[in-house]
Amino acid sequence: MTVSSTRRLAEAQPWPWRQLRGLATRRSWPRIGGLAVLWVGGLLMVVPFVWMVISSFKSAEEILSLPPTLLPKDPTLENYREILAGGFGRYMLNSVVVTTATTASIVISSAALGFVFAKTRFVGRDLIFAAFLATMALPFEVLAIPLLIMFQPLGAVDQEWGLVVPFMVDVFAVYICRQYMASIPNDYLDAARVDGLGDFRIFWHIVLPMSRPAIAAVAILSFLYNWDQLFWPLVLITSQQNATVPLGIVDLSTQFGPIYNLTMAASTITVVPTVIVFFIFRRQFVEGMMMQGLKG
Amino acid sequence: MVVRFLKQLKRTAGRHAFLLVVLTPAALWILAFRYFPIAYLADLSLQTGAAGRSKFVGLTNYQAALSDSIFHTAVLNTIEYTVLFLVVQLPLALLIAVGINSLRRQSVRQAVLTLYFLPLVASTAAMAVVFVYLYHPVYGLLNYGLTSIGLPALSYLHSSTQALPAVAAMAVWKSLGFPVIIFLAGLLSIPRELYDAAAVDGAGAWLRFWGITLPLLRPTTTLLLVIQGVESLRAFTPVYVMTATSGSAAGGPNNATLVWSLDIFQLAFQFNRFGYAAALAMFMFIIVAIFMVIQVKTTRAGWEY
Repeated sequence: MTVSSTRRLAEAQPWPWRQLRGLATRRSWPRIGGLAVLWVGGLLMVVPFVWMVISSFKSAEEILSLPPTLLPKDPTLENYREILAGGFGRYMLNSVVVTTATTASIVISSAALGFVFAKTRFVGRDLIFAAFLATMALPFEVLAIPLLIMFQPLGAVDQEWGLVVPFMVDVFAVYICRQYMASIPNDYLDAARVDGLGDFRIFWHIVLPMSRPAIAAVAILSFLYNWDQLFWPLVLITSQQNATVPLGIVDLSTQFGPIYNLTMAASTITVVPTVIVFFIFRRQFVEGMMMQGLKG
Repeated sequence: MVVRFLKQLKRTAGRHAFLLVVLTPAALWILAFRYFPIAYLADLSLQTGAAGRSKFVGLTNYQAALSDSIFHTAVLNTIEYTVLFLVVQLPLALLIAVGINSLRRQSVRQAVLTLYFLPLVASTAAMAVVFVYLYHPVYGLLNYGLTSIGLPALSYLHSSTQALPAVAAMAVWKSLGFPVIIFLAGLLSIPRELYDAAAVDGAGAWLRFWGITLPLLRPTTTLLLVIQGVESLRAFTPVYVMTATSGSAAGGPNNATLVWSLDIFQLAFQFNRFGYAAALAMFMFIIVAIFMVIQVKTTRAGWEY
């Protein structure tokens, strides 16, 4: 690249070129190196996504060609048609139903419990809260064995609701809401109590609207976490018609061997909705991640 | 008199109604789906045979676990995976967080951060399958890249020495954004004056990093060690999906990627050895509980500064 073309690029694109040039004049080479690593690293993070999307439009022959083609020679939607015909739509529907139900339950329970543990007084409150928190030390992989044995007589095996029930309350989400609500000054609540409002109304009209960031964070993190569940569905679900998306993806590649043109299409339609959700709720997501740092 | 008492009762019940409506079902749920199962698991671990036809065998399952070479392999693999994961991910995340923190424009920070966040929101199973394709020994993009710059091709998931690091690399990529944002929050909480004072005293960037940034990030680092450590200790999805869909069996090749949770999964749900799997699960529970206690202790200590 010639000097003049670099300069033209710098003028056309304000970032990062202009900043790099500004830094170069101050001769802080370590900083430039750092910035370069940061951007190259950031772009490398995206490579698997880009390759996934590109590959999903390639034909079965092209996906196994050497050298790999950068762009599909003959872009096709055949892969998508084939996996949808193979029942992937059903998996999507199941996943949406199960994840939405679980998320709704987590949001409602953690908002209400957060309020109870933060803003009401009763005998044994802190003890009960500690008993809730202690269950964070139970990895789900450990609980799956007894839960499956418990679920067999209940008729929950191979049932959608069996996927929801063990995740209806998320203690960590309760903790996030409780911490957030505890920071709301009591003056608001006392004023409302003087006016004769009961707990429910105080919760509904005062605390809930003020806790929107925490609840939004809980909602988006729960949705993504439960969309990603594999262990429990793998244990509980036995029939194809009740399978969720992660199960479907595993099935697709274990039953017929890895057929990459199909698995890349399946991965793309699994990932794209969550990426869109992320771009819509990016701020809530970042805040939720930061709240996770308060864990403990 | 009676009427007044009833009214009083109604008012107290009314005042606490919300509390009871919220707390009762939640408490019952916690008891039924968290406390009862862990007690049941402890009970199962003392039995042998399938459910219903079980027999009390005392600590036999635990003794068997201690001399089970496959379980030893699983624990060693888990440790190797966890160490690899932490040793690569946390320093990398710190480096990136420092880099992002030094960016001046908010919009640029957001853009870079977004790049590192994307894997965090993508489905693990879906991206694991994408990595299987990237790792393909013949048609994979990674080997194409390696060979085209003159390096030898690797066999990744098909080699018993490279499989576990290959899975760990995917896991590092997948959750890198999380330690980045936590480190970034930690960096933002360090007062600027400390750096200014050090700069006035003539401390260079490197000295400031070692003398101020690192020590003040200690609580953040401990927290991340515990959270990410526990996550990788119980890792299942990346290991299972990548090894089950790459052509070899889950945990393969040659048990090279058989991790703790996968061992429990196979014993319990594929071989129906519930009692023995329960003993292995109890070991895992104890380890995770110890980590949690450490975390609670250290965060308490962290609050004191």
